Amino acid sequence: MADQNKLEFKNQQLLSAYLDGELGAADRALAESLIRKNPHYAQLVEQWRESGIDLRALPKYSLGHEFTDRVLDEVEKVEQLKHQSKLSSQPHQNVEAVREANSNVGSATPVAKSSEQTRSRLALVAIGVLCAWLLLTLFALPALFKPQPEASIAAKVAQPATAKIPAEAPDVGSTITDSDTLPVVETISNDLPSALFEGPIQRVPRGMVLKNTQDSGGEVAALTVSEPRQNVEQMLYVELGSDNEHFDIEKVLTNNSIKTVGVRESSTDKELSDVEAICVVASLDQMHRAAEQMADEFSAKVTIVPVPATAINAGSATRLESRRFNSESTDPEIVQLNEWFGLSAGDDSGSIRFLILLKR
Amino acid sequence: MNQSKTSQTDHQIICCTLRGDSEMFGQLVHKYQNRLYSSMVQITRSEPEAEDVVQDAFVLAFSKLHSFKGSSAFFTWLYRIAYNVAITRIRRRRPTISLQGADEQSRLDFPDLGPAPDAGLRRDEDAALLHAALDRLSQEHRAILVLREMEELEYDAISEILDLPVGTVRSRLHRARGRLWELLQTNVD
Repeated sequence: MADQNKLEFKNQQLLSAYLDGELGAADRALAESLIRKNPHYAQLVEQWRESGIDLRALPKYSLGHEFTDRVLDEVEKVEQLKHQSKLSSQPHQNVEAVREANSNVGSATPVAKSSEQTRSRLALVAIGVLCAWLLLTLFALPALFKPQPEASIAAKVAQPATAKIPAEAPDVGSTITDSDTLPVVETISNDLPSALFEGPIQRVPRGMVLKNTQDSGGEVAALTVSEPRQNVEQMLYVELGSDNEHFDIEKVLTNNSIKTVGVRESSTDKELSDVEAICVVASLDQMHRAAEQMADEFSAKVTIVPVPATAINAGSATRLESRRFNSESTDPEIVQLNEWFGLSAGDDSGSIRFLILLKR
Repeated sequence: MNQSKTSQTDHQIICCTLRGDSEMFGQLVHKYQNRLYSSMVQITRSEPEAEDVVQDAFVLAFSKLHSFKGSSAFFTWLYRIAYNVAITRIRRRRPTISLQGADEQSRLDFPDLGPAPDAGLRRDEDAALLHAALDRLSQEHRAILVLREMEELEYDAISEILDLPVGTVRSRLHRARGRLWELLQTNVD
């Protein structure tokens, strides 16, 4: 029965692509043969074609010339802002430029005057540096030679970007091999962010199919953790396009020996239209296998993104997730997040991304 | 090297804009504003919101123009920006959705669109049914139908705009068509 449904689904998909003229010769011949042999398929294609015609016949809307002018006004504002921010990022040069410009008015020797000012300023700076060095020698340097219990966070951050995942007892069916390395940007010192688990976690029976909610845009988040939670080392975040509405995440994960214990509803700060899953797995091997399986299952691109501790410290992964697509933000933290996710203007959700949180 | 898909005229206008002639950008705005607006009205289901989306998209496009590589058509690139602006707005206004309360999703207000043009739709009632069905479609399904059926874009371009693999475009379109038909039938009944 399931196989039959799968075949029906596959055939219908083929016919839909046929209607769009997106098939190669062989598939096109197959689609045509399906239509010829099966009146149900012929009817289906006809229905879709009719809907398409109706959609194309919907009224077109237009904006007047004043709209173009309004956009250009806005563009001009952007230009001005850019210019201003450029100026403010070079304060000293600008002050000098303005002074120079002012002094040029009614002054016979502006350049000479400016050079004189610069020289006296340099002298002041030199005196300041000398004083700072003296203070440093007297008070700060002795402290530097005291033994340090642990490297500073900054030093940790500066460590090489690739580290070995600590070998812990792998879960059923998984092994950690030498190749199981991921770039770890820095240590995550705390437990997994508790905010990830806020809100009710519903227990679901094994084998439950998470279906996309009807007409809702399909916001379902599944939280999958291995037990006991204290041993959790890595987290797998999965975001799937909502067309994967009949995907059985639990099946996919259990196929990979990943235990699932709960499903979490989408919360207000996570209003994403894609099906998401935040999963915690017990080993990197499991994570890779799950990633491969999901990529295969959904014929999708999979990106594994290691997330540094600062991302987690910046807030919970939930917050992180809800903010990350703001690719236009100038907030340095978000800009950094966007860099990690490889986002640029025009990017948004849709592709599958795995967010991996590593805990030592 | 990427093969340029941007038309010669667009390319020239973009070059001029990047050289500092922001007035030239007005030509691009004028050229694409209505096409983009029509699409965004269908996606946002609101004329005022669509207007804001299109304006924001153009301003964003202007400020990011230097990053446009020309490997896709300018309109595809612009559309992607507009689509993301629209989605961000839609998400902001969407209520929380729970597994149980999925059917209780509040409907988006849809403005009075005025009479449908004579050409195309057989009856005004057909247009009304179609609007009702579009209102009830999920945003993803609506968007992909708009891109394919109204914009008549190929799968590659849709894939680029929605940032989806072509295989997903294909399967989503199939589902969207099926769902639209179901909704149309429900409304007729």
